[in-house]
Amino acid sequence: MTADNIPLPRNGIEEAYTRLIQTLFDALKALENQAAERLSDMKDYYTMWVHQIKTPIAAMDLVLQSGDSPEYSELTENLQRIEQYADMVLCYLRLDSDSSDLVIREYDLDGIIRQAVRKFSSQFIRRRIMLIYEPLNKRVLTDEKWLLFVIEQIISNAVKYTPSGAIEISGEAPLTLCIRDTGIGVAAEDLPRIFEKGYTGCNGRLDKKASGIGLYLCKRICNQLGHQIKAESNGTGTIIKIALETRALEIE
Amino acid sequence: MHREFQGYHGEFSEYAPHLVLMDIGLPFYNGFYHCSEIRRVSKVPVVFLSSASDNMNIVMAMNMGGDGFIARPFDLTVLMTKIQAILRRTYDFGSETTVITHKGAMLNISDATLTFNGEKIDLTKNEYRILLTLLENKGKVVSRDFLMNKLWETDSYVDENTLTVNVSRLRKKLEKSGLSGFIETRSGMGYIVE
Repeated sequence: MTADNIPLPRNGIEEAYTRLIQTLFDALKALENQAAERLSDMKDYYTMWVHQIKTPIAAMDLVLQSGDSPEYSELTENLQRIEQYADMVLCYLRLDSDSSDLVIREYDLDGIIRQAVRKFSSQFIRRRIMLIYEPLNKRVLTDEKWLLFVIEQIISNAVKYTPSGAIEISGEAPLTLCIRDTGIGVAAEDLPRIFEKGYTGCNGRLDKKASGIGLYLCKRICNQLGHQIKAESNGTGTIIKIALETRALEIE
Repeated sequence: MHREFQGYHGEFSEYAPHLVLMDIGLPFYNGFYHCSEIRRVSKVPVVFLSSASDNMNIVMAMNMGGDGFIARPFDLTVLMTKIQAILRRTYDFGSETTVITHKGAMLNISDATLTFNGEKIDLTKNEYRILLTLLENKGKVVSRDFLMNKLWETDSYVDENTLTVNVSRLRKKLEKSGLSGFIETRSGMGYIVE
């Protein structure tokens, strides 16, 4: 919005109005700048906070790795969750920033999946959840760290909401990644809304631990990367599918 | 390396540096965090650079797995000498711990083979990893969960049953070669080699 298109004043009253409009416009601009600056300051603060908190988390993790007991395992798992939440804050902040920091390259999909699996291996083992995964041997065009975040988020949910059974990572033609679990599933009425910001559904609310942000971030990221994410559930678990194929641009 | 550097398992392992020189204050995560991430996948020597040379930072750097510490402003010659000393220490005398022996059996770490009485015993990837972990913790009980975590680290996603099968196969191989009772079970706790 600019004040450039106001016609030239032809008399005293129009002059007064023009001055008024200009004053209002200047005030609006000033407010916008102020708000943007405040937002930027806040983002800077929280970004720094996340990095700071990673230091004690890393230190605690090192100490916990030196022992082997049920208490250590439980502490380690909770510590990993804390770290995950901190990562989510970073992701949330960076998604909202205007500058795009996407680095799109071709990657070996299995490499990214393995990184995600490794992060949760101790949780799989502790909770006695089986992992079914054979290398997919597919290459994808994507941003590694963002896709990794999405896969980690999905696996985290799967582990959280699967009291027993298995989680299967597989592929569907042409290049869709499927992560399936035998967990509590998603109610039919919640299914179309689980990617909404802040939506926790039946299971989340019962749990009182869900923030409703995880899948929302996944959807935002997938949109930015040009991948489609969707969920299916039939009562005996949930399947999250991410379509990773690239469509050729039609240049006219 | 000036590039944005956040993924360790892929990029780092591929590059496989012989030594890492790292500033404690880095753009995305601080140096301590990076070091502990590196330590997850590698024993490569890490030398920290810091502009604050107070004792807490030095302690922190060592605890995070750092091998050396240089405070800024530093002399380039001093830095080069320090790096050379660490490289010499790490790579010339690294041949010391490539073999673990126990009760006459010899586990060669550099080529993952097991020898007893001059005979080579073939081990699968999982069996080797289990035996290595038990021998590295000689005299201590190693829990099944710990073993499973070790196997998962090598991308072998075993569950409880598979672990049991692997251990029993390993035992059979050891018995066949004359090493009976090599791995003992401590019921409710795990396995032990002593």
